[in-house]
Amino acid sequence: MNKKAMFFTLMAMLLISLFVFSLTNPKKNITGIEKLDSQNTRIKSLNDFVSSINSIYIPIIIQTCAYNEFRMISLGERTDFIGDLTNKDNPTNESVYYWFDQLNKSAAKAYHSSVVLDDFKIGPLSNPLQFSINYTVNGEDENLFWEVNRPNSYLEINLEGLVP
Amino acid sequence: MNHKAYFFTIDGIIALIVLVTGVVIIGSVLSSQPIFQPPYNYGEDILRVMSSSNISTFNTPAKPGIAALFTAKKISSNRSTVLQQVGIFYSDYCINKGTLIGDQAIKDANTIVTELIGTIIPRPYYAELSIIGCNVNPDFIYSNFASTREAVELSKSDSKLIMSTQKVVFGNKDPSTLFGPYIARMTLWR
Repeated sequence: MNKKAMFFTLMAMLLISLFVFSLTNPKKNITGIEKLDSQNTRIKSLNDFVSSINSIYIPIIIQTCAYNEFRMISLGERTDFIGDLTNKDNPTNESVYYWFDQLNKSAAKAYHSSVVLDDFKIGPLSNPLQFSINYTVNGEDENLFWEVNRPNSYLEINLEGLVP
Repeated sequence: MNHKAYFFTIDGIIALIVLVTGVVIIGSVLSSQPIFQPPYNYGEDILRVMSSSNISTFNTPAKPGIAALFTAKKISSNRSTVLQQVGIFYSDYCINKGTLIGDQAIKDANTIVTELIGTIIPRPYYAELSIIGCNVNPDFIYSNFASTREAVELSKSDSKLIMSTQKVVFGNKDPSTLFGPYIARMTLWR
């Protein structure tokens, strides 16, 4: 057989094999879309967490801490809120700051993020209770953060079971 | 160039075209089957449903285990989500660790999770729910692979694909007491 014929035959086989190989083997490295998916999942998880803080955690923290304050007042142990709820410097488990600190520890483990309660204030003793809250949730990425500010909010405290 | 060279080149190309056509036809038949895609979001979706569904909606004859917990008054809060109720049982376990009450609390948590997600994980995937809270290591709550942590860990160590997702569990036990926050970890593997 002619050597040139062999050469061209092998060349044609090589070229077509390369073409078929490139069609049938997609790239294995992470594409932009996959990177975007993982980033989207992270944002979605943190967004869910912030929604939970707003709609579930803040109401139950304030509700429970305020309930305990009202209970002490109803039992005659106190005459007014003495500041446990808003105690930032030495927070006990009656302080909103304490529970945000606990949430911060869990958020660090679960989402590699942080939750910082920047400011929490309550209005005069009343039901519904007036409060204002300001907190920040930071993701791993410095561009991924939520700053939540809720001034003049009200929460009805369920006082069922307390002495009137 | 020699005529034979053209002949063999064209002959080779024609032969390869026939082969490629065959591969394409077979490939198109195979690709008409469902494309396998790992369920990346199953764990996330299950935890989301558990954290947004109220436990009282499952107090039905179709879920006899959960209904029995209501009947026995082990579930007292109708306002808790499923994940919060699991958290309440886990909190009872933490308070009564090493006692029969603590062991029963974990079994009650297992009952809820078994009835809710026991049948929705498609094979060949397996799932495990554990909670990180009062112990250094996560506490085993449920798996559809085996009922012991050791068997589950062994299976996971042989697995080719493991997906894990986590969610914070936090809520009220009663009007004056909060529990948690704990971390619920859902792991799927095959």
